[in-house]
Amino acid sequence: MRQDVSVEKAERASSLRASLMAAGAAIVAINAWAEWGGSDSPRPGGVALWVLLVLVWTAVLATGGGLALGKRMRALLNDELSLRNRARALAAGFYAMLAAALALYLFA
Amino acid sequence: MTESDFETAERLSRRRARMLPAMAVLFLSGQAIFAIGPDDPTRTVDQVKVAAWLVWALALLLLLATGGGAFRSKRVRALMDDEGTRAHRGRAYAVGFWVAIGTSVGIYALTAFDRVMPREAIHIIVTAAVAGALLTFGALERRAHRDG
Amino acid sequence: MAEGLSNRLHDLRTERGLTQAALAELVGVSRKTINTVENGVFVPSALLALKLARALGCPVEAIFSLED
Repeated sequence: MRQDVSVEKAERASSLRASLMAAGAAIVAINAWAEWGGSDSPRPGGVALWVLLVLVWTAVLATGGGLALGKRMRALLNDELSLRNRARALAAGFYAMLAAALALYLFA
Repeated sequence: MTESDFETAERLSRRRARMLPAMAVLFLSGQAIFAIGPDDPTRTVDQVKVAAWLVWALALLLLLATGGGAFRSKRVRALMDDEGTRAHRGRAYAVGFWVAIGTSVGIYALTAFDRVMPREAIHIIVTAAVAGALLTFGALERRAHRDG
Repeated sequence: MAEGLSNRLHDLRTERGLTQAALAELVGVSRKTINTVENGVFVPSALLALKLARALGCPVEAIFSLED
């Protein structure tokens, strides 16, 4: 059935997205550590790359990704549960950002 | 006549919807004090300013996270924190997150032209994120209370 | 109106002579939540939808329906 194929494809794309986003988070963190973790000053190009990575991944978070896929596939990828998970991710991101910022403020 | 839990929750919820945006505006305008002269972390007056800002930001966040009504009964708190309110809070967090990202990118772009100290950048980002989240929550709550 | 969902909550509530506050108290939520559901601003959870149906004495489908 056509609908089942679509649901199966969306299921695979959703799993792939989950794995890619976890990898993306790790890459952003490793990149930040590589630039700021050592005693040397971060390279301007490295910082720009990190900013670019953050923007790309926040764009993926905002849109749910799969922009090249069809409307129906995107609707399946961004269903009610995904939207709820995204809202929880944004809340976690909000608090993680504030906690990191305040901790940095005290040590800056 | 004694007020029922429901009426208490309704009254406190309306007050919260009025107060939160006002508190956000006060919080934002209160930052003007940091524009007066250079910040010197060794001066007591500057340490007090920073501590006041931190405590203020944390108090507002606590208010946003809990919804207030800490000394009220469990039922009043549940009514003040029902699923409609939780949905508004979720949207407020999302706005706070995007405001933080937007402000950070803006400050990063600014560093190409001007020197921005880490503490200044963090101050601006946290203030904008907290105020953005509070204003959103307050606006959504006020809208929900209207036309009733 | 929330995408894809229409509701008759306002009509059913007024037919029963209930205010928003009275219905809110019956189901254990705030009046503003009832207001936002009626205005289609907020899509309630299945739990709240079932509580509303029980309070109004009608099936959930009588309150909420999918927009074609």
